[in-house]
Amino acid sequence: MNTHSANAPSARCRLAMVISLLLAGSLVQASNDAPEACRQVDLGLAYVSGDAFRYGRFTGNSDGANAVLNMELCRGNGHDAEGRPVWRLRARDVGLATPAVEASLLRQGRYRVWGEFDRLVTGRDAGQTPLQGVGGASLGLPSGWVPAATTAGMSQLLPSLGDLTLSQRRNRRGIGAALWFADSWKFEARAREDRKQGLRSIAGLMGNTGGNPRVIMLPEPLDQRTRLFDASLSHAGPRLQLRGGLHLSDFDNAHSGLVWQNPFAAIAGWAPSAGFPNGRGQLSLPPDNRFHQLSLGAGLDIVPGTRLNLDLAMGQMRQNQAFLPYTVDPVLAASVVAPLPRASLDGRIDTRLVVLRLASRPQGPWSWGFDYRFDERDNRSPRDSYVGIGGDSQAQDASEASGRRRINLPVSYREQRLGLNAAYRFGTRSDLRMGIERRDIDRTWSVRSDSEETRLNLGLRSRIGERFHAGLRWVGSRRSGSTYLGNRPFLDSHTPAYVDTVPGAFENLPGLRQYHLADRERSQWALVAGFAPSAQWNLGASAGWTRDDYRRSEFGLTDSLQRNVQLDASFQSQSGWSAHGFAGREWMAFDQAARAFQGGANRLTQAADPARNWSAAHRDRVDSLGLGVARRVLDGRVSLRADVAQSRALGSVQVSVGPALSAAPLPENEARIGTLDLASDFHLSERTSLRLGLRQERFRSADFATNGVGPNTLANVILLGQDSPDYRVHAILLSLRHRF
Amino acid sequence: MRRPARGERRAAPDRGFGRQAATEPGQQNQACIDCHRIDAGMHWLGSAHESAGLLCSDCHQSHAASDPALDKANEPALCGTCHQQQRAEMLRPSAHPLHDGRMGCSDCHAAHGGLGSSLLTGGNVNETCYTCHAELRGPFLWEHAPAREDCMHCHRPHGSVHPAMLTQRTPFLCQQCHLAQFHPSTALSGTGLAGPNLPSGSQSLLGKDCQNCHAQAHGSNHPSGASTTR
Repeated sequence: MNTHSANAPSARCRLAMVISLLLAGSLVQASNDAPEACRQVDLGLAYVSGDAFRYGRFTGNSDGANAVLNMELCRGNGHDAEGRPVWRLRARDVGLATPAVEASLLRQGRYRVWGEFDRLVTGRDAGQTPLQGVGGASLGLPSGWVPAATTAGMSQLLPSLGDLTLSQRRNRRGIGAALWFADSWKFEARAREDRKQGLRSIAGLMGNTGGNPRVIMLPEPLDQRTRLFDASLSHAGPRLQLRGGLHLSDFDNAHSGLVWQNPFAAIAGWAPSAGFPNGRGQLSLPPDNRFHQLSLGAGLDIVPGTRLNLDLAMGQMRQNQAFLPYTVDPVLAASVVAPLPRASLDGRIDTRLVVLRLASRPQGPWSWGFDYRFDERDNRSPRDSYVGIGGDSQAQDASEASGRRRINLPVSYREQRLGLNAAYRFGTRSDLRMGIERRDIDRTWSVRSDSEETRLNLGLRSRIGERFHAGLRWVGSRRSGSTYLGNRPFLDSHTPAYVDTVPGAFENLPGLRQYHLADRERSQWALVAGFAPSAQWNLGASAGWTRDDYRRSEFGLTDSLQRNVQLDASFQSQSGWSAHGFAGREWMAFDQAARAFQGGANRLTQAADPARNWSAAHRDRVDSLGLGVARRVLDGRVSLRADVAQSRALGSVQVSVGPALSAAPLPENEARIGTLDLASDFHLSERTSLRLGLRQERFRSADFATNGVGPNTLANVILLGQDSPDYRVHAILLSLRHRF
Repeated sequence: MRRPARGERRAAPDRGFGRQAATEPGQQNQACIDCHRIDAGMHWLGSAHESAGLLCSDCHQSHAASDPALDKANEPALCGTCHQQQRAEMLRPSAHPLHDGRMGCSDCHAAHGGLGSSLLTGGNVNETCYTCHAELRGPFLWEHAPAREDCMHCHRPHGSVHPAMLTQRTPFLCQQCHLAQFHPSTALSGTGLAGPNLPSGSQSLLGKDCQNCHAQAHGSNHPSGASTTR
């Protein structure tokens, strides 16, 4: 099991603190002419109490004490006219599980080199599993395991549960260098490596139809590495700028698959070998892949205020990892009569991007722009017939009419956009903006091969005096396209012999319109206003309204409406007071429609029966509120600050059904987070201050999908028992800041 | 430039910077672009921020030893002063770690203009996402077509009230595109909640709902994974 926690300060932390202080002390001598802001060290001690799984979601911290070091050190500044080298070192959260360090050396107009490291910890979710070998690519059950057809008969499930923490840690390391030469040329190269390790959950399914699945949720081991390299050569002439670049990205996964022992006994519809104890399942994990791209860009000032930009980029995504076998079960593997058509996919997507832009800002009141964009992802992966084995639980059925005989669909995408925009200035205080954009999309193996969308926008902004400004913007668009062929992917990915066995020759309801491809009318309004009644006060407000009408969708998403209102205020007095606040509310409403139908003899009858219709109305509301106040007292020797933030999200789904169906209400889901930050800085001297901080965070959430849903709740799925977070945590920070 | 003698009046600067300055906004920005032609200036004219009338000085402090705009940890607060909707989304229960200071807006957006729409650093949404999520890049043997086309068909990258930054709650989100016979088209409601006697409850509604079985929502490379269960 792979967990990441930082409890009491470790020897490593203490060593880092000592080294940092020694380093900081030596720099005092070396950099006594640099501005104060970039030469400071914070050394602190933090104590965190309470159950804090979510609190530490990006810091990796759990209860207890932690030493913290932040520092920023430099010599000179970036605008050093004498051309002297400038260096900078910045470190944050050293001592915690998520340190970030970056260092750079710059000589203005000559060179710059830099390096960086940071660590991110995400997830941190608690769960339980009976599986053994957690962290590895092969998971087994404990001795004495009692299999059954459902969790009801698994007498050893609860006694066998062991705790685990699902958490991911990402380490990022990067270096780079830039070189300026011959007055107008620049060469830059940078390399970065991200390594992601840890655990996350993934479903391990046995079974070959929607009627006989049995699942155990697995801890998936993560050990992934992504390497990025970018190099570019640029020329910056007074009128013409050129840039050529190379981008490489290589993804490497230490695990190609995950094998687990099936905890369920063989059930009807499965081959006998699939059940416990010999039954095994195998998942594929993200395959190794790479992407490379060449780019060329040019910018030309045709005349002052008028510029032409042309950017071209060509790339390739490739993936050729060896396939896993159809099944990991040796008994079922012996049944294979139609072998894999190839050993690996040899997948390839060619990407092409062209962006052309002409923009003009002449001296008169008019300005205008023209944009053209071509974005193609041409999937050249080979198309073959694969005869899969459903969920490692059946012998291969290689007949021509087998539903297991599937042909892959290497989907391609090509988008073209053409836009025109113009603006007219009324004096120096108001302007009117307008634009039109046409978007055309071509797809392969899609229910809709061509889409087209026309978008109009109109905006008005105005300043009234020095104290008030406001803006209003409207965007309207209409999307339509070629004939919607809902069963096209179904027909293209199965054999005609199999399609002949399916009444109606469709998979999804013919009336369904997938929302990203459906006809849609969109209308958006946005309003923003700001008012400064005095030099001390600033007030702001904004509101947004977006309505999507899927006017021809009988089933699927039919309508959505999203609204938001945000208010802001800030105050800054000359006597040392400052305050700020914000409040916002968002409403999100989505409506969808569907019809429930089953297979077999009643399939077509039910698929046409309006009494089996159902709909879901989603209503989400998010409230956020923040208040803060700061004050300097005792002649500026003490600074006090207090911040409060609250956010509450409420979500409901109301399901309504026709007379042939039944339904019951679903409870509301809620997530509520409240934070209180108190901080006081005691300025012990001109250069040294002591900070005492207190933070309290309260998080409550309720989600019917996870609340009280344990490993043995469902009959056919052994879950990890991840519950909704609910905690209160206090953190105290005491730190000493010294500026050199 | 000659340094003024003691007591001599300092000459007025050629250009003033900021909203209160008399210098015309385009000229203010041009002073910066003259030195930053190849990076910030390359795509500036005609970009969304330039078209919105932004000044370089709205975000940058050119005379400060440390320009706060160049510190990623400051970006969410800085950008949030105008992009209030995105700032509010960052506070939602499921979000990228922007509000936590572990990620910057510039990780995805090129504030001075770039190749992608919405000022994205990559050529399009997916290219941008794959920079950090290369495990989802594929190509896969069994593609999930909407995921290949645009990650934002299902995800809200600034933050969502639903897990995994999904635009809507599963299983209902999945049912907006998948209405096949039996369980995909079933009306899931309170009848699928767990009762007092275990085991009970719908495997399509509780736990990870659809992903209790269909684990490979972004695509599968397993030869038996056509249903994204492998």
